[in-house]
Amino acid sequence: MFLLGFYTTRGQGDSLFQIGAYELAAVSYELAYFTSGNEGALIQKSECYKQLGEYDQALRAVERVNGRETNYEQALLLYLSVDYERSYNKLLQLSLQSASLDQETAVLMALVLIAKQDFQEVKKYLVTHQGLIGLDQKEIDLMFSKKLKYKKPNKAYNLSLWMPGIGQMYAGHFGKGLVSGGLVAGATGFTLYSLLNRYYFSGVLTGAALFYTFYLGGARYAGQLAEQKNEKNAKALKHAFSEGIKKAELKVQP
Amino acid sequence: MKEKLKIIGIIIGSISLSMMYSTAKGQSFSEQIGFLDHLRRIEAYNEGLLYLDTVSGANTEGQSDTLNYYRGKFHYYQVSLGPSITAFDRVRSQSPFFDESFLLSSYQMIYAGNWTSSQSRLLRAAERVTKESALISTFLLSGVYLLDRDFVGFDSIATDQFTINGQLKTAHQRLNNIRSDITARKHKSPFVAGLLSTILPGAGQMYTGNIGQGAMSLLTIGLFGLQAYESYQKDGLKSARFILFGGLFGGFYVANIWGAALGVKIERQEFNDQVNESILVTMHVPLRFLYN
Repeated sequence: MFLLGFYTTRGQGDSLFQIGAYELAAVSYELAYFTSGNEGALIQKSECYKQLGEYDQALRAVERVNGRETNYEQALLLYLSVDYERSYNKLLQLSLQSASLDQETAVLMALVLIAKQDFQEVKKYLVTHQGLIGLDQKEIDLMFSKKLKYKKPNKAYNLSLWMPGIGQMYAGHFGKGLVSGGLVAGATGFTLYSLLNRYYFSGVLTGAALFYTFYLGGARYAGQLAEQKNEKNAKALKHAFSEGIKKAELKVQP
Repeated sequence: MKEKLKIIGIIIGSISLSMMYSTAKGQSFSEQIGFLDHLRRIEAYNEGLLYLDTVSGANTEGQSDTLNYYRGKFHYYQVSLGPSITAFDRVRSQSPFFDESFLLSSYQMIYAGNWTSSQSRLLRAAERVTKESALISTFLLSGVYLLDRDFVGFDSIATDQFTINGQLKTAHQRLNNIRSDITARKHKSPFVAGLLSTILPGAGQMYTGNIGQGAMSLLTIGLFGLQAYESYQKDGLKSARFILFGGLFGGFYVANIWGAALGVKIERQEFNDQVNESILVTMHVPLRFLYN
């Protein structure tokens, strides 16, 4: 009786899934799980929410599976919901649990490392697992032909405090560094000029306000530039990596 | 094109609903309720509502009450007040779910700001619900009086009747404390705040309790004033420098007076909003304790 119920509702879920009624399919799969206790239905349910782009709901369904290990599914959903840190931890757990790594997991790990902007680590990982992922050394070298380094936003900020404009240059924007340095120099000049002409109040107050704005504002801007640079680099690397994977897959299927 | 897509959407939607409907039909009523309870446990409220759309086939009025209760409850968990109130209010007074439906619906009406109608139904509650639920109704009523700042109404409800229920006793005590906070608050006048800021920029803000904001105003206006004074001394009344700094000083000075007066009103509004929020939270505590 229960078995029959399971097959009908699970079948229902499949048909609903096929016509794209994912929300109702999810309910059907939940019902199938409820009546039969078959955890496969929970995996199907999470697939429904994945299709809807509701990754946290999908994750909640997968997390309820006890019978088998779902670290890969969880890591993928965490990656999709932009929670790279937790995704990385899941993948670490996975690689500790199983002796052999599969291609899917290795590719996901590389993507997570790229998203974490840990460029050095990405290169190391790709070199170690190139056979598994299907990339060769030449392709990896090509991906890293431009020297990629994580720019620390904090360092950029502090550099600009030490010498206005240097933080921008560290973040890879030489011109913007010059402008920022120039503005601070200008504000300092205005203050000195006012003081020399005995405009003491204006010199100190307006000059200080200008100096303060350009000096601290410039440092904050340097920090933002470093973040933007990292994002740009990660995006380019992800693109190059995806292209590499596509080529590798073509090689496998002649 | 859009029309076509719409028609296709409607067809697919009705096919899928009817497919789901046949699923639900295969289950007995108690199995359906079992599944709804399961969905409630895993907090899948949206799924619960979707499922409820497919189990419209209640055979008796009692079953239909039960389904309306679940519908109201799932909407309540999702904080969609309107649909929840509608579903709860369909539950008939014969149903074992009536008291909870009535109280949760009343609370949500209050939360939505509909004080007058919830007040009139709470006043008549004793005729419709059990003695225990009537006590909760009275408690909710005292909350409505407080939201309305109707202290006579609030005081007319005897405190000692709540002593038999620990939750209600504590919550009502909290409402009493909020009542004292409201009455203890000193009335501040926008005129006085404006006047103070005219005498000393920022003093009005300090009077309202925004010490930091007042100090900042005093500093900014003071700095412009000093620079205006300096340019007046060195370059005279018609110099561009004096016009710039004098203008800035004058503008900020006047704006600050206006800001101080307005600040009193904003402060009052913020205080009232905050108090109402605490009243509503306090009213919710016993309900959550009892029904979650």
